[in-house]
Amino acid sequence: MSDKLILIDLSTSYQFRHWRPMGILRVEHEVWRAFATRFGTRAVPAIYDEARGGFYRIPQAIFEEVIFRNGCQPEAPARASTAPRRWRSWARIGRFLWRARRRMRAVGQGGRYDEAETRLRRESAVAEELLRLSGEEYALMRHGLVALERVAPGIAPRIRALDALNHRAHYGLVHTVHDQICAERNRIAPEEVGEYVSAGGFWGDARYRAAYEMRAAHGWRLSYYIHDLIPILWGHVAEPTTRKTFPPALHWMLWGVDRVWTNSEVTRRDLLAHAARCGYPELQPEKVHVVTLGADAFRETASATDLAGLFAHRDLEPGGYVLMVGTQEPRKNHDFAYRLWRELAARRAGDIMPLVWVGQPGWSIGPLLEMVRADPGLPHGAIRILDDVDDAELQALYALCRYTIYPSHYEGWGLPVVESLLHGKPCLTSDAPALIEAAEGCAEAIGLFDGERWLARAEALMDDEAAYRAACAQAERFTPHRWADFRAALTAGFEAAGGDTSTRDPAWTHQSRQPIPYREDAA
Amino acid sequence: MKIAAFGHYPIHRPLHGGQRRVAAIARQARAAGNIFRYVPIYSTRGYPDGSPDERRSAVPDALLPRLHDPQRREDLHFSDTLKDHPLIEGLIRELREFAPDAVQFEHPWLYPLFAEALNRDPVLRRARLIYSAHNVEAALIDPHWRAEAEALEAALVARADLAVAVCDADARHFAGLPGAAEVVVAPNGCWAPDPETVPSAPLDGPYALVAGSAHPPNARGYWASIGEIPGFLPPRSRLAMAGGMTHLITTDDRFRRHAQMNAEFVVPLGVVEEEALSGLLHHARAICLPITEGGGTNLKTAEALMSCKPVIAMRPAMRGFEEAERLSGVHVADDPEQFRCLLRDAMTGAIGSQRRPDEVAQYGWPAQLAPLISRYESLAA
Repeated sequence: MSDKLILIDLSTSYQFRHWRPMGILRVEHEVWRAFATRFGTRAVPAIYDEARGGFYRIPQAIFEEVIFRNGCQPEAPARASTAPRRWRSWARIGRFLWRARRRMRAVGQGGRYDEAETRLRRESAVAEELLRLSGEEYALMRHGLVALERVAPGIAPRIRALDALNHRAHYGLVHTVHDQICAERNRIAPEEVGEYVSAGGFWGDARYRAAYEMRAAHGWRLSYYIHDLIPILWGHVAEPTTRKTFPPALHWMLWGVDRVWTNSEVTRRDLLAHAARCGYPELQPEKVHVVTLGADAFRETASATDLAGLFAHRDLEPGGYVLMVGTQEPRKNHDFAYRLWRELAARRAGDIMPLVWVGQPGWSIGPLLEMVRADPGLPHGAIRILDDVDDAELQALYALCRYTIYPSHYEGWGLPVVESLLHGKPCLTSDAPALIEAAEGCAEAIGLFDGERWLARAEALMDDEAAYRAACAQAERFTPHRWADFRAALTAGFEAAGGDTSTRDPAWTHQSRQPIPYREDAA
Repeated sequence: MKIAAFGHYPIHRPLHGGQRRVAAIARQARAAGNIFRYVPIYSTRGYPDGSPDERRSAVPDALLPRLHDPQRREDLHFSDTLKDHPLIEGLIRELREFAPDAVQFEHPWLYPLFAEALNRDPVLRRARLIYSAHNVEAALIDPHWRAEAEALEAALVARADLAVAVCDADARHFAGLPGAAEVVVAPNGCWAPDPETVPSAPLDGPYALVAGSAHPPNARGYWASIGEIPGFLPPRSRLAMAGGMTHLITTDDRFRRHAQMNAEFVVPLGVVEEEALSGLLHHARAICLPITEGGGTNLKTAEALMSCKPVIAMRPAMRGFEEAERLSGVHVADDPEQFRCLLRDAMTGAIGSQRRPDEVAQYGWPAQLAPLISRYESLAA
């Protein structure tokens, strides 16, 4: 058994630490838990810093706060207000120049600190002094400095540096958690690492290149958890930046990976087919493992009083609404749901349960939302758009809805379907393969071209109690995967897999650690 | 022997395959002691870089809108556009003064402009007629125009004293037409690289080369064989794309769809000078021939073979070069996935090439065009 470190890349959780831990963030958290439990201190939580070109260990003292508690966010500090008189503002500026100079000198005296520490302390001192000036006074001083620049052009770089520091001071970015993590003492020595695990959005920066280089230079074994191939297979409805950055990131990954996990058989098939179709190095099917995501239901919801308040606030009747959960973006197909509800309303003379859309507004959705809000053919309140629902409220909305719908065009997995079934709620889904797989036969999949059947089933689940009871019974049969199962499956055989898990051509493995050789034997 | 040749493009700066073939024929014919006068009647819109001498016979600007009428074919309807135009009368006059022993048409398109003069003029009637075909045009043209193209080709073959085909299949086709005289096969080739010269590397790092003119089948072949995502390229290697096809590819939605990926892995070079192309061929890790349709033979194939680099070809690219498949480093794919896998193996060094220049000398222009050049003398006799 190797004693080398297992680097768990938590860059995505770190970068999006202000978000609630949903989707990929939740998976990253669970991956960390799995490895920390199984391998103890060998598992190292780390982030990648592109500017510094390395991986950094997240210090234990701030780890929980940064990764699990949405903590360590930068806070803008208090800043002086502008003095009531102009001459006092100039006096402040003079004081700033005098004090900043004096404090910088004081830091440099005696050679107490190394160069980097001296720079940090000086920045800190000047930033403190800058905050004694108001923004307006800073602008005044800058105006004077720029005038001075005409006779002393050499001060231009200093003005720019002061601008940058002023910006950082203003927004509380002088001493960030990032600086704290990416200090030299936390830099991970490549030779100490044996395994690299990524379950996040590796396409978000250049971490996949760094990992590839480390594999070539230091023999790291790379493991990736792949959530879907939507930016490639359904790029036209993917998030615009991801659509651009994902294909090259996956390219590097496929040229240097030792182990792949996928969240579903569908994603596994998509990945293998993509690799084979595009000419990537052979990805042996037996080396790509499905590790199904967990989903632990919150069966206990808020108190009756709280629930009453919540539903009153939303103007919803418990048991009297239909739920659709997911980011508001074209792939989720809110457009279909809108047209479905519009037609139902027309056929039932407006007598329909409200359809509640829960999810953050995403991309390319504005025109549809405008249309829904402006549509005089849709009874008022027939579609409710809620983009500010927290976890507890979401559980309550699931628990007390009549049923859910999920007409998504395509998914790598189908968490909203699973969550619906966990709450024992019937779910009408599209026939996207991953949704069928995730539902394990406990939801009702209807093709998106089968509009009449959608209408009939949506109506039956509102009115026909026998049909509704049958659908509920079907949902109750669902046997969910727990996060504990996920964690166990992820680390099972992790080390036993040993060195034979490479999905890369052995010849190329050897070559890639050296410059790519030319075949000059041709001529 | 005096040969007057007509074609619908200039060859002063040969870029696409047809231009390079005609330029090679001219060079070899002259090298054999013939007087070879090539007169291009061409659109300056399509070929803005003809030499001053070539520009004398360019289509007048006033006729260009009609020539490029999208409802018609520029090649098939060339003669219709220029019929009875003073330009042609002048060229016939010059032709009579030149008193050629043979008149050669590159492609069939210009033949109708001179057919009557060649039949009736007492001086021109004596000249032998050579149809220098580059393809079986009727087989490649849009079905809407097929009958018209077939009639034109058949008329020229029936009247010609000699037809020149670029491959055996084309030769069999021409020989089977009513009234066909002799048919010789002179396949496409290329000029052998100078073994003494090592051109400078035009790109950093390893790359595979794909080259082609702005001929739509080249773009179709690219998309069918290479696809939208070049997964066969190892990180830090690239696909260099040269020639007029670059524009067709880079303006395609399929290219833009993966803009960031292509920015990293594909280098669109556009039309490059001969010297730059030599450099590209010399330093390429592999040369790919993503040709999936078309007729005749490809001089890109000859070029690739003579480079002695690993060649990854789709089966249709090897038309006329079938025997080259046995050579080292020549890999032929029957489907796109196989093509990409072979290309990947070439880029990683898993497959290489031991081909020697002497094994591929037969694909040089001198050897390929020899059957035609040697026939010039016997025609004169």
